[in-house]
Amino acid sequence: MVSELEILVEVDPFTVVGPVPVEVMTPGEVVRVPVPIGRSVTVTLEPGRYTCRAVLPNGAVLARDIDLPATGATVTLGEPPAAPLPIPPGPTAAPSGGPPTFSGGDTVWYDHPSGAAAGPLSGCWAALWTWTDGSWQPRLWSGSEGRPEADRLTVRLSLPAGTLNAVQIGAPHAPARVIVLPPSHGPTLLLSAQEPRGLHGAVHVEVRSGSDRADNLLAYVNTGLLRQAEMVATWVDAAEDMLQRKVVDQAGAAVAGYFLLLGRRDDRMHDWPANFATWYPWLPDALIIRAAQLRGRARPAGEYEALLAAAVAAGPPVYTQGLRAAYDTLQMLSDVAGQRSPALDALRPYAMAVDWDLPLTTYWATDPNEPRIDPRTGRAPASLRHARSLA
Amino acid sequence: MTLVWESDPAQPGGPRTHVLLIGVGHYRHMPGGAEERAERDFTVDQVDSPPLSAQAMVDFLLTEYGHPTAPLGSVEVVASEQPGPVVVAGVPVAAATRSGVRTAYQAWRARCDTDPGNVAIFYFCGHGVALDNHYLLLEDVGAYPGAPLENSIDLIRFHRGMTGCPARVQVFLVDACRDVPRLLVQIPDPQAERLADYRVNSPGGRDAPILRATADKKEAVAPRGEITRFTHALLRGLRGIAATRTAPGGADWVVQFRDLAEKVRLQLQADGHGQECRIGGDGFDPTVARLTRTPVVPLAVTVVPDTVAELRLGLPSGEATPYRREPGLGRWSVDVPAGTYVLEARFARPDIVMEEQGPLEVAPPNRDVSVAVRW
Repeated sequence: MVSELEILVEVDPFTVVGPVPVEVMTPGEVVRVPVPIGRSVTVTLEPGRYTCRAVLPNGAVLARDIDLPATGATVTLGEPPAAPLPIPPGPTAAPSGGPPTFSGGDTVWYDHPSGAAAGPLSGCWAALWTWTDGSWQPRLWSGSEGRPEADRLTVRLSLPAGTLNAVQIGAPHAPARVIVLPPSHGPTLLLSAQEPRGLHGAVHVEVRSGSDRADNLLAYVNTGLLRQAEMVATWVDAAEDMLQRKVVDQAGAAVAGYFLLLGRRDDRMHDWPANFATWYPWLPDALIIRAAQLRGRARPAGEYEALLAAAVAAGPPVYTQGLRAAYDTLQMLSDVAGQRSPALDALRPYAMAVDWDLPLTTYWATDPNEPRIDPRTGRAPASLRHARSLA
Repeated sequence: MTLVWESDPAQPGGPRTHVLLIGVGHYRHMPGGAEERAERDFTVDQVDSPPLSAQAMVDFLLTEYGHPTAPLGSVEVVASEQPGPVVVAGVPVAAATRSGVRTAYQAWRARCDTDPGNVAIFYFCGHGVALDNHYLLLEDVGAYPGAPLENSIDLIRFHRGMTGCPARVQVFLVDACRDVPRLLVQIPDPQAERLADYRVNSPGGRDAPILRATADKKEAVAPRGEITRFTHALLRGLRGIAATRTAPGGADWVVQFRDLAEKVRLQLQADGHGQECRIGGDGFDPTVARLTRTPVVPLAVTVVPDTVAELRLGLPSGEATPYRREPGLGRWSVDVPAGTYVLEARFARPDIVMEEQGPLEVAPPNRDVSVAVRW
């Protein structure tokens, strides 16, 4: 006798990109199915008692027991609604004991948009930067903010193709950070309030590339939930397809490339990384993935060293996976040669300052060309004339 | 001495698991240390949990560890506490200084190099700092002001150097902080112990994941006088929470690396102290262990509605009641060997009864049970 179990996952699409891998467990046996957010999936099982469990990319576990009768049943896995966060206390002094504003120059408080209630995101500002001739250069703001809510905000950016871009975000209650943006003409920033205990203060920032599949895979890979990553990617087939579709989805191709490298699936990468690197030399990750592939194939070091030098000249990698791979290989080559390379020296400030736990290269900086290991909380400096007040 | 256990040479050859454990609970040049220095580049506290954690790992290895293809071959340990030496499995082991670690490493590495089928396990518990790389601090760190990372291990370079080791499975378990001491940032090129030399194109194809106890720029913590939270979660994972059957319905249980990492992460998250473990290194999903005993599984029982009850968990055969919980303590959580049980709830009021419930199957990863009552 068989029955049908309908599974529904209800989580905040603002914070979780589907599908979510769900495990349907009896003692000692597990059936795994990917379930899109807000759409049900039905599995056929024998009647009995089951535990349904979903692990979200942030590690949160949603679980429910269910008695499945012969007539079928529905189980909904959902998060309890989060309590609204309080407005944090005023700006605090930087840990170095300095003032709660950027060092040097005057400071500017931007006016809040008229009518907007002061909330945890109040005073949040952002600025865009483009990698040009070996450094970050200011770019005029080209984003549109969604309707502000009390503790969250959506910003859609519009960026030209063929360039490496970064966004800098600061607030009175959050250190100014620079996030290298995925290769997409329309990435979306999701800003939300968080408990201000973490590295990045009261403002949490998620970046969506526009490729849900890539963003979801990246989220699970980054937090080390690789069993879940396998499920949502339906393992190598999806990754192989994503790498193959690099012409239309460079973010997907880069994430898939790193995922396949992590799983040592060179057989599924074919020579696509070579094309990826040739067609997108402005994207450091394309060059790094090709370099890693060559290194994995034990090619002469000169071949991948030149690619890595070109990658560093193109800017910091978009993904921390790429920064780790490039930095480690350049460090190894320098150790063996007995002297530091200019590429290693150029990358080291980013390696020192980056938050290795975030999927996109993210570091504290008041000037994006000078990564810092000490956070500076506060207002945008007056010199940052292209900064935009967000809330 | 660093070798606390070695398999009987008379036993058949073949692949083996070789383990190197380091537990640093004494920092001699730091405040409270045996040779405290006034001039330091940074300070760390003395800690008591690393030698305890290393000993807990050794206890598990010597009494419970198994592997489907590489049974335990040797256990090398260096550990420090004040006053030393640390005695592990009846052996007073060498202090976790740079020279002690090098000696243990060389012996461990020589064994690991003997067979590509070997499994190499590296475990470190002690202080750590993170800059561009992750540095693991040894007992004599801080001996040379101006060279603050002298007498620490550069984990990234050590991990890379192990590419020269033929053992195809290498597992790195690192129970150390990753916070950033500001004074270290001024050092242009910090130098630390690499342990292993490496070549540009070393043999590849290894599974060499790293499981770190904490996230970047964060601390790994331990209750005073107890083993660390990470090692506690790790051992629970190895004893059953992370186990999976090798075949449906079978009795053979193994622990794969990814399951272990996930279950350690979820346990730390459930602890509620904000500690999150992280995966690094390279490789896929090696088998870390095979269980030699019945998996031990967390069981949680909730009475619905929450009614004062005495709970008993017995065997279907009606043998002795192995687990019993007094009334009035809310949700009952207990680790039990996987198996089939009979759950009973007894109430002070005779008119309250438990809804009839069949035999209770308990198996990894865990079991949450709700007991409905009526009156």
